Amino acid sequence: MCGPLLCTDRGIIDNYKNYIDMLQNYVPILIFLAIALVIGVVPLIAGMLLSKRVPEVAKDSPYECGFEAFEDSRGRFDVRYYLVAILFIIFDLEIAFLFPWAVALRDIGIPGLLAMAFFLTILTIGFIYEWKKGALNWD
Amino acid sequence: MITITHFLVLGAILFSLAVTGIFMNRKNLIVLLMSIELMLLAVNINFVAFSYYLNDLTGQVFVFFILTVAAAEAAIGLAILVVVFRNCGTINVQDLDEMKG
Amino acid sequence: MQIETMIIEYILAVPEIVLLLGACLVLLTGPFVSAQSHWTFVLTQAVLLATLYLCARPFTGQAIELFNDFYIDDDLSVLAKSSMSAFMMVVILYSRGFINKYNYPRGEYYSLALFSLLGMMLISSANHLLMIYLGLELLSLSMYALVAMNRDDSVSSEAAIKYFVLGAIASGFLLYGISLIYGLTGTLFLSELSVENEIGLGIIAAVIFIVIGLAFKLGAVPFHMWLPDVYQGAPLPVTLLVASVPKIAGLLLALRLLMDGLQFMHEYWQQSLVVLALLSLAMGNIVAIAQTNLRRMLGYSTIGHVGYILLGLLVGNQDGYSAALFYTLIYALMSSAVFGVLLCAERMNHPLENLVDLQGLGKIYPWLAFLLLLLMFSMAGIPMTVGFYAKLNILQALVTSGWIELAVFAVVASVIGAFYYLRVIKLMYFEESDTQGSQPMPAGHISVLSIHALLVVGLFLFPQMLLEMCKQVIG
Repeated sequence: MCGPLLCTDRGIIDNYKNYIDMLQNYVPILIFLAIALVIGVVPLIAGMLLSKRVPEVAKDSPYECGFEAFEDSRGRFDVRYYLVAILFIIFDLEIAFLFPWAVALRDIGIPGLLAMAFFLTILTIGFIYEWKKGALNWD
Repeated sequence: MITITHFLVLGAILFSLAVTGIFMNRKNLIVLLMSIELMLLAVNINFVAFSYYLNDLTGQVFVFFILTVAAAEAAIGLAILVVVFRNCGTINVQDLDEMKG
Repeated sequence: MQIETMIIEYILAVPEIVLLLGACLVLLTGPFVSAQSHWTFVLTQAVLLATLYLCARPFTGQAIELFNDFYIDDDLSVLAKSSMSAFMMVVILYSRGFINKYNYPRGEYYSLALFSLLGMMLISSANHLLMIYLGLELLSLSMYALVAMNRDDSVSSEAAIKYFVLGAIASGFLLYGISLIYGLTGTLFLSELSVENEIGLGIIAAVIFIVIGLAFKLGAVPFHMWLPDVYQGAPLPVTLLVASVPKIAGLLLALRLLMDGLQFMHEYWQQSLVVLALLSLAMGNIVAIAQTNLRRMLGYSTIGHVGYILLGLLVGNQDGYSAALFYTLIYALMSSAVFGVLLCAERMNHPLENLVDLQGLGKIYPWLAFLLLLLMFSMAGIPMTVGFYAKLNILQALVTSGWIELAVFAVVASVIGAFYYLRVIKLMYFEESDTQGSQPMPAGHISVLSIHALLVVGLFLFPQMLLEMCKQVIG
């Protein structure tokens, strides 16, 4: 019988060591995150503490390049934004197949090259279709 | 120590959240689309966890395909959503009840 | 050596490759060819004919595995692919008049139909769960877009969003089940699935998730909510498409998953299928009686038929599977013919939207009414039509494996179901209507439709060949 802290089972301890090793790889990222946090937060806090505040109507209204603000910023989007987003999301993600393909290209050789050419051709057919349909025109 | 059970429980929780979101949501169709996406991501967590613990790459390839198909699915879903909004003037789930019986 | 096997693999996959290239070509005719041109239709039919010609071959009893075993070429896939291409040709032919009349975007309708056929062919040849998923999504995504094709109609867009949401949930459930299967068996190849130690809770959960996903896709109660709405709301040619060819693909999906993959879990999925089949039979046949919209009624009738198909599947032996296959082929035949009648009437400016519209059809268009009568008899399973054999086969398979109670329940359900099929006949022949003036029937449409509908009698007289084929491909 042994408690969890006194346990001398080698397997568990080895696993635990591997786990710590794995975590150590991420230490630079942790440092990076901390620095980013400091750089981001310190100027804001400094501005808040050190600045002199004189509230005024013109100062509190949203800044719009010198114009009066046209409308509330939470208004509806033009439906054409959705169209562009819909078209974008497909091509954006299908291109993701290129990354594993590029890494494995040496191993899969000419058949792999042909397969990707075929895939891209089909993608291009989709692109030609939407271009000709006028889905890319804003007006 | 993180075991596979943790990943599976996470996947199951996300999946149930997504299903709950789909069936409880009566307000907004966009939330429905988000729930569907969450459902697929929960599956992806399962696949990646299994793939890691089985030492087998197939699961990760599967995740790749799920991601891209989910993008196509989201695109079609959004397109249908735009059509629904144009015709019905609302994306409220409860207002979509023209057909009954 | 390697190059040779590669070439052989690609030769065996030529039907799919031709179909894919054809679908891309048809898609490009949308923006490039004038909207009045008939070339899109001709090209589509040519592609389908080429596909049919390339995939039809005599049965060999062998299964060839291609592309690192992802793909399987066996008799079952040959039968499914050729019948699906043939049905798709008929569907496209019936749709043509409607598409031209209402000026639907042709390139898009035809190419989406071809893409959905490609998805269905991938499902029928899949030997890997990834292929199943990709084929299913190709089919479903094309279908969602097709249902939403009439962009100015609020009912059809509502049907589309319901179909989309429920279809996506189905895919999610199926995928979750697949992910559990992957984790527990360590493979995704259908022919390699099995568990070494005793069957645990995890794999049972996986099977239940997969069955739920299947039930959504097939439209079995309680996962049927999308089906009547899609039948009612979608444009008529799309309803015709949804109601015919994908049913065969749905069955193939079930056969590949449950028969090829999860046969070792038979006693577990059988229980879920019993529940689904009972609910579908009861709900489909009873709720259909209360409908006033003809297409919605046909939607509920489909649910009843799905119940029958599930009865065949749950038996889980060669008899059951082949009976389910026979039933599905016959159902696709009847269903596409019924919607062919609806489309023909619509072309003559006599739309059959509600049951009331059927009144006096026997006087106005006697031949059309007669064809619909035959089809209704067949759907109800009355002798002299092949629908009778289809039901009989399922019942035989049930009784021989000891499911007597289920068989009795199915008979009672179809007797109830006969009521609303016969009501259609009563409306056509025994009610008067003030609508007058018949128009000439579109010649091509009605001649193909006549042959198509008379097949239900022809197959009653000579069912042996099809029955044998269904038995042979399962074995």
